[in-house]
This record gives sequence, structure tokens and C-alpha cells, in this order.
Amino acid sequence: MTIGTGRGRGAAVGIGRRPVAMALGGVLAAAALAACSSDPTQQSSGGDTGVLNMYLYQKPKTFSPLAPNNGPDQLVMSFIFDSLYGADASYALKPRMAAAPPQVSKDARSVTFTLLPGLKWSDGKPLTAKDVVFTYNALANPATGSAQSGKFAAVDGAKELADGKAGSLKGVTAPDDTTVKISLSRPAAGLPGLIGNFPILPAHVLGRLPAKGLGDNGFFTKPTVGSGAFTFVQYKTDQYVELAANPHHRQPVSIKKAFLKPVTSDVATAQLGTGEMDLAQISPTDLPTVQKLKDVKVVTAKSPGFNRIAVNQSKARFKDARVRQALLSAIDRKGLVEKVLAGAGTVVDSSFYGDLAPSGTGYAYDPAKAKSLLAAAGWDSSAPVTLSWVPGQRDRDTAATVIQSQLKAVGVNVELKQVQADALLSSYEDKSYDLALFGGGNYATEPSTVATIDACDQAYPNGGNISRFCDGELDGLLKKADTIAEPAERKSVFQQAAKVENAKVPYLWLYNPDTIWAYRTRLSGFEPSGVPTNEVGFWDMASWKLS
Amino acid sequence: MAAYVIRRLLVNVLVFLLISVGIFTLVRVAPGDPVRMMVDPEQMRGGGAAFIEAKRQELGLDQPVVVQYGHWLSGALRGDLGFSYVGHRPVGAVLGERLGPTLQLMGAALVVALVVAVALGVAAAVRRNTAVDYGATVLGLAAVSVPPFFLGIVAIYVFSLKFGVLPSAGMTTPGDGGPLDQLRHLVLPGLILAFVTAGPFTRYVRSGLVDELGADYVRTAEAKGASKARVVLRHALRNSLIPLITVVMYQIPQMLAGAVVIEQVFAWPGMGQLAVSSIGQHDYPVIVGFALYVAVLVLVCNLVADLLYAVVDPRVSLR
Repeated sequence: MTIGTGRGRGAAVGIGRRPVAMALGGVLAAAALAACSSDPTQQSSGGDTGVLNMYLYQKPKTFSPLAPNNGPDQLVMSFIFDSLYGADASYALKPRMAAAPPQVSKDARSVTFTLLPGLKWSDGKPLTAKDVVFTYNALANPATGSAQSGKFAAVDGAKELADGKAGSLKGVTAPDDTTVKISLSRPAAGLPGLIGNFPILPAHVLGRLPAKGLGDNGFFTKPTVGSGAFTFVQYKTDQYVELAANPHHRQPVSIKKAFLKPVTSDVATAQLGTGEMDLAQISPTDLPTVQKLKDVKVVTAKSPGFNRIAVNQSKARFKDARVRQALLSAIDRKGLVEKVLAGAGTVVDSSFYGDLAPSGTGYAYDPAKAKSLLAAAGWDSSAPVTLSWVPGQRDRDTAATVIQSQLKAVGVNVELKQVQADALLSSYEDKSYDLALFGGGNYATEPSTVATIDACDQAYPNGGNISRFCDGELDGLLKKADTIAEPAERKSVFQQAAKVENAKVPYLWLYNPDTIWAYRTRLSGFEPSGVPTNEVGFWDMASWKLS
Repeated sequence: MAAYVIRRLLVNVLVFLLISVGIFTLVRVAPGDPVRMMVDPEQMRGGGAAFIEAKRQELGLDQPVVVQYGHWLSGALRGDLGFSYVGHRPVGAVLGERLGPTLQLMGAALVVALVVAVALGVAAAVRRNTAVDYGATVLGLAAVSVPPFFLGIVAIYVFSLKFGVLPSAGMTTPGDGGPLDQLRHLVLPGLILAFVTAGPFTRYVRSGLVDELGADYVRTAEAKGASKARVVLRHALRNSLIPLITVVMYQIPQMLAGAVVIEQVFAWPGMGQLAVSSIGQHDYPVIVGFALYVAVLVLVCNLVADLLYAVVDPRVSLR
């Protein structure tokens, strides 16, 4: 740009008064009109008793059971898809579309699922055992993009399907419309707990598509045919997922419409107060605020997931079990629950849940015992130990600083290290971390899934064994449990495994934070779920009602 | 003028290509692995490592950055910006659906900011060193000093929670979405973005007008008996607004930064929210697409500023 010679000032720009005045008037009038119109709470939900507004704690990505598990996706899918089995309040397997508990043969080499008769898809087409066979084939086949194929490893023909040598899963058949038979290449009594809660997909919609790349099909961004209590209407990106009652669900659905809204937790809490939100999971720190809200009820559920610290046992100084026992004894976990969760949590001493966990063998807060165990193990207190975690969750942020001071008091020189999620995962992979604080996991419904965090062959990134713990006895017991079909005998083996795990301390178990739900009192029939990722099969939305 | 525009466009294309190389390389060499972010090996029952490797190959992330850039560029020249790793949709579609909400938010905020800034700036310049001037200065300082997220939270608390007159988040009420409903949702985020944008504008209008009011032609107009209002609004203000064109055009890309925060607080489904979530999830194709969108915005705004200058100021000629 060049500046030319001037032709006089004051004659150039033509900005008149009238347009400015009109624009100003228009904007102010519009703002005033908007602000003075009717109460938004009446528009959003209060005026229509058939519409439920629920908080989504993150934005969903895809609605595909083939994709890697993602909490908000699972929550949406729990509305629109149904599964053969779910879990009851104590996290035991509970039939949903199945007519009976799974039948496992005595040698644990075959499993039979029986479906309820007369099931239908939301488009009115019959839902049969063929749909289950199709779904399990899609899930077991890595070519579809499935992240779940590992769970089918024990099924006959799984390897051939994975290697591309077979077009279908030989071991899964449907002799009639309500029976699914699964034959296994090795005993796997835990299979129903592994695959029973997968959402079933409609074969009449997806069955003719090629298996390769099936997971990228547009159906999974707009799954308009399902079997859950609701059908998918639309996802207004980042705003809401719109659902409508499924007229063909196996039970009558009372609520006509549901909107799942991904907003921040602050906004969700505010909207509970204004009536724009009917149901939300809240953090313990928001509890005092929410309890003061009018017409809002708060309920809690015991969660099977727990916060823990992985101890990197690929490093020599953490290999001695006495060191890990000492670290656990040096942390006042009951105090942590009181301090960071306002008491809304439980201290645990095992990755096994409920009555499988050993009783009376806890690690009470005992700094003197910790010091003595460290001395016996020849601990070098001069070398620093890093405690890494992803900041942002208030309970973990506070817990990290408390743990640092308590471990320092027994001679463990902890340095705190806040990291990005990706950096933390990277440190798992290159084995560079010392201690890592994280949470999650549900090993309650199928106890053999503890193997994914404890077994020798599940070291990260092959599996979820971040601590790189390896114990032949525990591995042996977990494998043995898979060969036993009889529930009481199986339980006894898991109890033995839990004892071994408790003594060897693969992780520093901290606490199970309770899951806290708040809902407007116009909603009834809601039973809280303690599962942090809201897996499919935990809720009975058909029994929810709005007054 | 036409030759100038063509020359500038050609330069912009070259700059755009250089920016794309820079962004593409930076995004890829930055720490982080999108595949690691999308896979939880705990769910894999022993298949984690193989799944991660297969996914890397599928997304082409196992290839050298130069090769990846070549693939991307050949696609981009055909209008294909790639596929979102997270959204499982074309990047063009992902960006496209966010463009409207962001333009709506920024456009409304810009109009309000300009109207308020001109009104306040004129009042402050005409009544220099009075309470009006000091008040405008304090407001301008507050606008640039108070973080938008704080204003957002306070606004939600007051207007949504306490008085219940405006919605607290989102762009529409689920199940509604009419024009009035959209306007109601726009009021809080739009006014807050307008407030933080109006601060610097007000200072420019004030100082520009103060300069003009001291010019010879203003004294001449006053000597000829023109009214004060006519002198200020008809003569001085027009000329004082010329530099504002440049400021506004440079401010538009910066408004995007403010919009990122506002969109987060009010769950406004625009570009800002998309950028934040894509960066967190290492969604490379979307990050590159967003960064290039910002680059285009800056280049276009600069070009438009230069062209407008020539249009409104006869002393300026473009060669």
C-alpha cells in the first residue's frame, strides 16, 4: 500500500448518522426483547413434563460399540442400545434382553445365551439371535476397526477371523431365533461377564455392509435403529443429543423425549437450579451448592472404580513387595476420603470388589510400620521419587499433595509432577515414571478382568498392567478361575487370588469415590449407577417417569 | 487496483503455503500421539500394542512427516482437508458446521462493540477530562483487564441462576431453536465478547477524535458557524474513524481468542470449542484445518483493511 497525495481532509468518509442510530437501536431492542421474554426454565423443560434433560460430562465422539470405550459415548449408547446382560446395584450380572442367566457348561468350554421372545428393533423389525451373532462377529473382527476383539480370544475361530483366514466367527451360532451358542477353544467361564453387556447391533441395517471399515460407517454417527429405551434422533454437535422414546422397547417407556447435554460441570450445576437440567452427576466439591437447590434431590452410589497409584515395578527399587506395602501403610487413606471426598468414598485394599476382597488384611495408616518395612527393604531415601498425575480433578490434586507430605514423613522423597494425559501414557510406555496417580476401572461384574491390570502378559500397552506387576501365583489363580463353571468354587478361587494380590500390592489402592447424582424431584424411578463410565446395561430408563 | 489485488492474492497464497508447512510440521513434531489418546489398552485384553500399531498405519502416522504433508497437500488442493480422528467425519464438514455459530457470535459482538465504542469514544473526546471521559477510560480498562471467563460465570450466576431471565448455556434450547430462542442464547456471550472487544476500540475512537478536533479544518468549520454536533459528527468523527478500520480488521482474528473462552463458558458450539477439544485429543487434521482457517482470516482481514483504506480515504492509492 502506498500513501498518495492528499486531496483535502474532511471530505472522504461517508458514515452517516442514521445507519449507526438504526443499528444501535436494533441491537438494543433485540437484546431487550430477548431478555424480557418468557422464563427460559419454562421453555426448556418445566413446561413439558415428557422431556428429560440430562448432563453429559464430556462431548460424545461416536456411538459405536466397536470403538474404544469412551465414557460419554457409552452413556449415550446406554439409552439407544440394549444388551443381553447388564448389572444390578451390586454389579452382579443381570439379564436384560436375555431370558435367563448365561448357561456355562461344566468344562467351561461352551456358553449359551437365551433371548426373550418377541424382541423388536425400534423400526419394528424382529430382534433375534442372528443379530447377536452378527454383533459378536463384528466385535471379534479387527478388520471392522473393533477395539474389542481381544475379549473374544477364547471363542472358537477367533484367531482365524483375526488373521483374515476366516470370514466369520466359527464358534458363535444361532440354532434358533432366541438361542446363541458359543463354543470355546479353551475354558473361559468369565466370557459372559466380558461380552454380555455389549450393545447388540441391527443385522438388517449393517449386515450387508463389508466387514472392513464397518466401524467408520455413518450409522455410528447417526444410529437411528436401536433397541434401547430411546431412539436416536440427532446430535446437534456440542449442544445436545436428542432422543425419543422407543415404541418397540421391551418395556413401555414413559418419558417421551430426552436431551443429553454436554456442558461444563459449573453450568450443569447452575442448570439444575434453573430447571434446564433434570439429572446430573456431580463432584463432591459441588455437593454443598447442589444440596441447597430447591426441588433437587441428591443420591449416591458405591462405585466399583477406584483411584490408585501405579508403582513402576520395572524399576529395581520398587520390585520388593515390602517397599510397596510400606508406601501403602504410609498413606492415611481414611483421612484422604474425609479430606478430599467429604467422606463420600470407601478405602479399598484390593482390586477385587465386594466380598471377594480380603477382610482384616488392610493397610491401616501406620508410619512407624512403613519406616520399618522400608528399612528392611534397604530403601534409599535420598533418591527422589516422582508422583505424576494429570491435574484438573480436585480430589486428585489435593490427594497428591497430601500423599507427598505423608510419604516424605517416612523417608520417601516424593516430587510432584503434573503432566498432560498423553505424557502420562507415554511414561507408562517407556517405563520412565515412578508413581502415577489415576483412576477408573470396573472389575466388579467379572472379577477375572482384574487380570487386565495385574497379569504378566498384560503389561502396558498390550494391556492395562501399568505397574508392570508380575506374579506367577496370581496369574495361575486367575487362569484357574476361568476353567471353573461352578459359581461358588469360582468365587473361592477369586478370594484366594485377592489375598495374593493384597499381599503383593501391585498398586497403591487409595479409595473408591462414591458416584453422586442430583436430580429434579419431578423425575422418579431413577436409581443411581456407580459406574464411572456409565457402561451399557446399568440403567433401566423405561422405569423413569416425569411428573 | 486490480493488479494490486492480484499481486496481494498471489503473495497470500505463497504465505498460506508456508504457514501450512509450518503448522503441519509443528503439530506433528509436538509431543503427543493421537492414537495413544484414543485407545485404552485396559479394554483390549492383550491386544493393545497390535491395535495401536494398526491404527497408526491406518492413519498414516507411521510415515515420515514429509510424506504425510504431501498426502495432505494433494488432498487439500482438491478441497479435501482429511478426516477427523475423533469425529469420524471430513474436516471440511466439521469446520463448516462450527463456522456459522462462531461468525454469529463474533458478528453480533463486533456490531455491538463498534456501536458502543463509537458512542463512548465520542462522548469521552468531546467531554475531555470530565467524569464522562474518566468513566469511559475506566470501562475501557475494565474491558481489557477482567478475564472473559470470569464475566461469563458472573453473568450466568446473575442472569440465569438468580433472576432466570436468560439461558445459561448453549446456542438453542433443545426442542426449540427458533430465532427468538437463538437470540436469547446469544445475548450473554455476545454482550461479554462485545464488552471485551469494545475496550480498545473506545480508546482508538477517543484519541483519534481528540486529534481531529484540534485540526485546522475543524476550527474553520466552527468559524463558519457550524453547530458543535455537526462539526463533531459530520466532519471530525468521519476522519477519526479511518484508522479504526485497520484496528477493527486486525482485531477480528484476535476476537477469535476471546471467542474460544466465551464458547467454553457458554457451551457455544463454535470454532473455539472445536479448537480446544481437538488440541486436547491430538486430532491433527482438525487442528491443522483450524489453524489454517485462522491464517486465512488474518490474511483476508489484512487485505480487506488495505482495500477499505483506499476506498474510504482518497489520499490512499493502491498500486
